Amino acid sequence: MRRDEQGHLNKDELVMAVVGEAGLAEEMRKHLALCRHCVAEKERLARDLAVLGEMAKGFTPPLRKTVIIPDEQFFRHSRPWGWRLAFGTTLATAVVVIMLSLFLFRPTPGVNLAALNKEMLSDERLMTEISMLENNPMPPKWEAIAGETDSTVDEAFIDFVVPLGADDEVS
Amino acid sequence: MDGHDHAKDKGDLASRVERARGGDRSALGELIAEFQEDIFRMVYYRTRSRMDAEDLTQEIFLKVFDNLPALKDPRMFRSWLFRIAVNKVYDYHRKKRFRALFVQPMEKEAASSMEDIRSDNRNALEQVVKKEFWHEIGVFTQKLSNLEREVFQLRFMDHLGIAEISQVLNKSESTVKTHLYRAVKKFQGAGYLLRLIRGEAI
Repeated sequence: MRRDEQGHLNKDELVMAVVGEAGLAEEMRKHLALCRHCVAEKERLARDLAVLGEMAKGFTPPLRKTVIIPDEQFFRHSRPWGWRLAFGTTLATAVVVIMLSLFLFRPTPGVNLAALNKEMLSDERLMTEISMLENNPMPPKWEAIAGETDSTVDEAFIDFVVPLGADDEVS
Repeated sequence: MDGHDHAKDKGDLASRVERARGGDRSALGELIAEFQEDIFRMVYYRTRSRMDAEDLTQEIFLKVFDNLPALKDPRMFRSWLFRIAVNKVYDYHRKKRFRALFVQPMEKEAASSMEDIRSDNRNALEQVVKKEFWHEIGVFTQKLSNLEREVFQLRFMDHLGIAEISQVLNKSESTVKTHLYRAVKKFQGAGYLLRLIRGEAI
């Protein structure tokens, strides 16, 4: 904004003078110190702002409820560093929960499913062999030598070969 | 008040704050007596509701009592107090906007402002000027940005210095001055408000 012929402060510079004279150029500050017109303009704006403050104060209703000082209990329970305590507690709990979950849900080491299946098959084969031996303990080639393939026992033949003794009949 | 008186006052205030920090209830009472009106007015300018301003003033001081041991420099008490107050007012407006999403403006507010007017024992002309004044202040402050408005109110309505405002708002002094400059420029353009202030409007 241009200055007039006498070099008075323009509107912007007047505002600057009210907000803080330090913001004005050295030349303008010197002018303001000497010029009655500029001082009057500055004071007019400053007065408007002061009256605004006074009117606001005057048009504010009076305070009816005065502030109450809380009882001793409030001061005993109040914790100026409460937020730090709460933050620390939360952090510690979170760390404990994370550590526990890592410990409880970690994968069991050394489980090899292929080896397990192989072992189960081997066990099954062994069990089959055992049950075959229970039915017929002789190996197949021995059956050929013995000349009997039927392992069922003929009771009449046994009675003929080994007759029952007297004692046996009594019992 | 000259510089010596100002420094003495600051020293007195710091000693009262120190005593209050030590649990001296009479010092707390002195701090309340010294600042409750200022804080009530500061809140009223921003809420325009006497009831809300009274409740918020109590809440602000409760927060102050609760956090007093955390105040590092007792000489900063005034700017620290206003900072708490500014934050409380922001919270109030945030909650109010949130509530406005769900409910119609409360009858309580209308009743409160009517009650404010009735309880004010002024003559009819003064009542009219008062109503006009707050209306024009509302119109003017709506033209300002949030920071311009806050800086302007703190400087010319709450009477804080530039350094205090920079502490309250956590902005540099040059930022405060820039926003204040813009706000005062807009104030110069507030024709009806200026006429009202100069007594030329009615």
